[in-house]
Amino acid sequence: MGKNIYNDEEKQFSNLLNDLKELPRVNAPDNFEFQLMTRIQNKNFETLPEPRVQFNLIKFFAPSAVVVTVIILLFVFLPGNDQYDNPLMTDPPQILAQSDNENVITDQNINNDRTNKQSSNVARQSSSSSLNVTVNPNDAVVKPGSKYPIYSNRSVALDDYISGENKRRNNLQANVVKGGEDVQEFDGFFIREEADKKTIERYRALLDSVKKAQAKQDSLKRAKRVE
Amino acid sequence: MALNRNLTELTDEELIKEFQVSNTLDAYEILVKRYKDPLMNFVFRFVGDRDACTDIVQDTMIKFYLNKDSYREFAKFSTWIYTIAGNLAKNELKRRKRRNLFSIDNSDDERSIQIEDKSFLAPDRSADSEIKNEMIQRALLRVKPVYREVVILRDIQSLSYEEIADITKLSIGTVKSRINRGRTQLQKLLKHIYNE
Repeated sequence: MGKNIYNDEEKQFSNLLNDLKELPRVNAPDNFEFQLMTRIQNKNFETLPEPRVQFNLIKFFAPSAVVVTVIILLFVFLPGNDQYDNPLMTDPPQILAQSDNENVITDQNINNDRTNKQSSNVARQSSSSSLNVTVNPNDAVVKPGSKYPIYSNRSVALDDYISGENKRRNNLQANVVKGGEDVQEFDGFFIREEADKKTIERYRALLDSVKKAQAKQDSLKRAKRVE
Repeated sequence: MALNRNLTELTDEELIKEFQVSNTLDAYEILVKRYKDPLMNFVFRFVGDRDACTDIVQDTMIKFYLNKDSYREFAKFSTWIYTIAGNLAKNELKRRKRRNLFSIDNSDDERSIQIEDKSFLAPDRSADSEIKNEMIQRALLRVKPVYREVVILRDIQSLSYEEIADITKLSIGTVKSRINRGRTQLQKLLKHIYNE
């Protein structure tokens, strides 16, 4: 055997390195060159073929299950980018359409007012009201009633109203509560109380005493006049 | 000049130059004769399968034959041919890994790299050098390929650090550290032998 020429680093592996060196040499088969030269002469230069994996149900379903699981997990855990409107937090489309109409009408009114600045108030009223009036074929004038009697200038955001931030500054809160088109201003509710029998009798007694006193006073006046 | 001398006396670099310039098939055959056994040993220790190893070395020689012009004179022929063989061996390992990944029931390769625990063997058997060599080979196949390659080149093929650095296209420092890590892994795997 040759000298042990390992350096300090290799000393700790000296046994292992000796064994590695003494591993039996693997030589090429005897017909190696013959096979090689035959391949070269036949121009058979194909390299190692990729082994084809045979189809197997388990082999097919195992990766498929993984893919399906990943897709499901993605759907479950990834937050969606598309924002959808909560129907409870948005105005119904009818209200939105109506408020748009109101805006258009208001703009038209403003324009009309500008052009008819010199006309009288009556004329102005008739011109503005003509926009809201339709004439039926039987010449009957009909004021179009709103299918949805909700107006933006008479509505209020309930949350803002409760929190005290009524941005629309709507002074007709009572009408808002009542709703409707041609309603009078409503300032509150009248609370009805059941009358008490004793109270009624007390009031009756008071009235009777007042009447008696009044009658006494009248009779005294009449007596004075006679004298 | 080279033609005047006997081809067998020429160095590797002179032979490949002869093959490149004059397309002398004899020069090619001599190089094949010189390198078939060292490459067989290297690839066998790296892959662990004799049949696959023969195919890989054949392919290495075919690649050498087809791509002889890609060899540059400033490189050593040995490092060039070892690089080709090493790359093909790594490809084979990747192919096997892919095959094992898709085959659930194919555990032949897995079984082949199991290391026998010496405690299960009779003392007279464990002393047998054949068993020991087999255990070393199996342990070698369990070492990470990046470490395995350099350990084989250094400790089995006895190449210098510079040659290994040329073959693996790594710096000498990296080669040394990889060799050290590979040896440590190997020694750990063979602790039943070396802790006695």
